[in-house]
Amino acid sequence: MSEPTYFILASLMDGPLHGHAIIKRADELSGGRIRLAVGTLYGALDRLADHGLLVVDREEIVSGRPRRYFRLTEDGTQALNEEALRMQQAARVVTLRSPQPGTAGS
Amino acid sequence: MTTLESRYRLLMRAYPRSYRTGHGEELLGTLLEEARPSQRLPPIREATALVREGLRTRVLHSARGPAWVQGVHLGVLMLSIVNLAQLFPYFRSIPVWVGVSALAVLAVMRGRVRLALPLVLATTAKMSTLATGVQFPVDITLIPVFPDRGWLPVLPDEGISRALFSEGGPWAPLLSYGVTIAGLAVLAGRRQAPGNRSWWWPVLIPFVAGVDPAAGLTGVLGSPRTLTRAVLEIALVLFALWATCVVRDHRWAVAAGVYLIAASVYFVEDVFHLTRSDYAHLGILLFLTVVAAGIAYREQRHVIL
Repeated sequence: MSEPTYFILASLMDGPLHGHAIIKRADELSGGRIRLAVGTLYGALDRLADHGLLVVDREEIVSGRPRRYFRLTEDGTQALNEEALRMQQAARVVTLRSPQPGTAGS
Repeated sequence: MTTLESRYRLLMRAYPRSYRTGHGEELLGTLLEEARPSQRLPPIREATALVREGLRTRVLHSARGPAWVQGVHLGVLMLSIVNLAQLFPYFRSIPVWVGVSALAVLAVMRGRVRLALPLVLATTAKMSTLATGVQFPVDITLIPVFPDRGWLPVLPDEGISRALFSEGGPWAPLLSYGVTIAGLAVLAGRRQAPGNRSWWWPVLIPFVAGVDPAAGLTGVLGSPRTLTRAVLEIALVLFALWATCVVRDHRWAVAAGVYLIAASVYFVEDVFHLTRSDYAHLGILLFLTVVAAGIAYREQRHVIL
């Protein structure tokens, strides 16, 4: 799973969001690293929906324009948790072997 | 409508119409929400993402039906465009045949392969008389057929200033028509028509006509037209490679293969006069086509396994 995909799915953990809100939330969660372009976001949302990882929760009209709210499916939540676990295990390989702060050179 | 909105709408034309109808306003709304209040120009990041994703969506939307059928259809369309473009500089001498060729391109593009087949057969019969010099008694075209005024050579020895089919042997251009006929016959033998292709394909015709397509894969060393043709062909095969990665099947590799079979005959015909750049040209096209086929094969195995 790519990092943008991971943060798109992670941004939907607290409930359904629309496109603009997903961009803001992914930016916030990634500490400013993931700044999604709108075209990229909707392309990713279409692909994730095709794979059954998220669905359209509802649609609203705001200022005359439609706005879809996306939410995670069970498969999406599972894929996200599996990826988080995989990254945690991968990180542990390094963090367990690295010297703790203050112990370097002693 | 603000300047920024109209520019975004222009960029969103990269998406197919059906996608724009369904989600265009939503995309635009999000783009405008992301913009600064006084912004007039779309940021490069947003513009490139819109064009990239629009093309990706187009390729995905067009990938319907059996992959090999669509691949043959795309390859035949490309060959029909090259065959038409090749006749363009000779319009005043053979206007009827340029028209018949243009109709054939239109018929192939709209999936009317049974209509295209007799048009291409008739054009092939006519072109075989021009290429071999053996004319029907009622044929009124004066051989050789020279290009119209305005199609001047960039370099003195460029093929485009010479008579139609006067370079090399007669078989390469005729085999290109032969491959087109074979492809059309295969498609016409199927119960279901191969479907429509985008109206953007004819945009290629003037570009192809301007780069001396009559010279096939070989060309004049140092000629801007030869170089442009090589760049255009490599760009199209690179597009086929990218499209293979997007749709994950072999339709674009088949299309590139169909085109290369016809184009390679020029190479075989001129085998004793080839330069290193000719070999590099063919080598790159072959390599990219094989890579596209390899990617499609890997994706297919991935699905099966």
